[in-house]
Amino acid sequence: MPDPAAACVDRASRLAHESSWAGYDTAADRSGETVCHVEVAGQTATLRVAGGSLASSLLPALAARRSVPPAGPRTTVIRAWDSTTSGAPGPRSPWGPGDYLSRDEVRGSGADDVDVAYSIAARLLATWDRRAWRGAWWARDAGALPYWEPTAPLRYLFHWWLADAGSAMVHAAAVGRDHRGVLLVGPGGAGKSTAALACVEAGWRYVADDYCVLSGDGPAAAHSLYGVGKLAEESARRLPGLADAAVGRRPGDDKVVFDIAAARPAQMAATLALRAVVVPRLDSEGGPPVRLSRAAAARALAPSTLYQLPSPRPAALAVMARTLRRLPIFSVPLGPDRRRAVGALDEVLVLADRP
Amino acid sequence: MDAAPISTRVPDDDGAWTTRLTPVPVHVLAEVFDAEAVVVQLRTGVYYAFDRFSTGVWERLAAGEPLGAVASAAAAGRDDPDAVEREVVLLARLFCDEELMAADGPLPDRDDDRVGHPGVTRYTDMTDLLVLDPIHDIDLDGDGWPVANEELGTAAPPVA
Repeated sequence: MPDPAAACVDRASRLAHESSWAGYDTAADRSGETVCHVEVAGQTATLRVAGGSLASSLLPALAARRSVPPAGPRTTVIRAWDSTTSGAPGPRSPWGPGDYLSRDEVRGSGADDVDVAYSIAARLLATWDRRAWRGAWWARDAGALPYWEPTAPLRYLFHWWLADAGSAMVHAAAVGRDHRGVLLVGPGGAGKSTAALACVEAGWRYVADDYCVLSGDGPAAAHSLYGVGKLAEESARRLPGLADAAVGRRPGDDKVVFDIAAARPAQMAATLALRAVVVPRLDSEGGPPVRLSRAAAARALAPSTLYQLPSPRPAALAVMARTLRRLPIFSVPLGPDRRRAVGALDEVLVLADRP
Repeated sequence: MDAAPISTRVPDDDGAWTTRLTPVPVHVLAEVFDAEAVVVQLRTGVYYAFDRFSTGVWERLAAGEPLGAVASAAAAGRDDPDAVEREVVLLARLFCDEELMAADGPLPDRDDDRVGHPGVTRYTDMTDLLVLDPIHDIDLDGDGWPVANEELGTAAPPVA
């Protein structure tokens, strides 16, 4: 006999999704809507955002990904709205207090082909209908979103959408020179953002400093998602050549945000062919790049990706592995000296070209 | 580990050699790189690196071979096959204890009180990402959505 409690949890994901999806209509009626299209890793989605306030929070980081309307039979649509600025009532939670889990996961996510995440910190609900290719994003108050949401907006929905499209959104930075890219992998604090933004300061092309997308087929490549980067203030001060790209900070923000897409549009790269993977090592003494095993790179990339994104697909690790198997791996000293860091990555590109 | 025929060993330990182990679905992801497995346990926040021997055992178990066959394959041609079989059993216990694999029967009882296995490196540096237990740190708003208890500091940015 079916467990009624389990059946209730199984239905909850779809109930929340349908409620959030439908609630958008009222929000858009009351506050207007912005409709745009974004292309990421060869896939196009239509974004519908209710209210100017929310649009001004969510869309700037995606400006470089704006595209023409999607063609083809499959249409991906993401609806985003909030209650406070639109005045539309929010969905009611179908879950109990014990159903909210770590990583913003919610018990029963994935049931009936609906993925669900709820961020307690940001007070936002993200739901993804795998069958209909529809995402719904609802926040209690667009004006109260923490500073990091506008730097990586809609990331849970992009994570699920791109996974279902055969790619993988990963926690990694990617930069390149002369159309040859390096993927920087490692946990938070490893130096990825500092190195990536130092490269932008030095004129390199920029894909990401935090989240990028890896291809599930074809040559190893990194695709851009967000056109911004962020650094702790101390690290940001070491990049005076990027000061013009820094955007205003609000009280309480603990990082400086750089709008690379706006300030350095010619350096934004939608896609970079990858030539190497770099695992940063914090080594003030410097030293040359050293070859590493693929397993070491996987340990630097996979856990920090999988542990911070809700309901990861099993295929996500396979996509990461596919990229790592195609590229040489280097351990590179990326200390506070930005010129040395850029030089080390330059050396990696040279080494990667050697047979 | 080289391929070997299925074991003809007479089961002891109450049939424990016929036990099969399978990776825990949903919560365990694994990939093998150049004979080194990287295994991620999503629920516990612990991830693992396996050496060549441990990877071989993992792969054969994950492919559905019974424990006895895996042990026999690992021990074939070795100077001390019993010692190798003990290593396989130790690994099987470790896989189950760490919630990496689930067994469909008993595991052989061995007089071996070692903890862990030298061929398995356990990493816990990511567990901080999962330590928040919101069940105990939240209130609910009027629509039933959880609200962070500010005093407990549950609001934190994603790791950059």
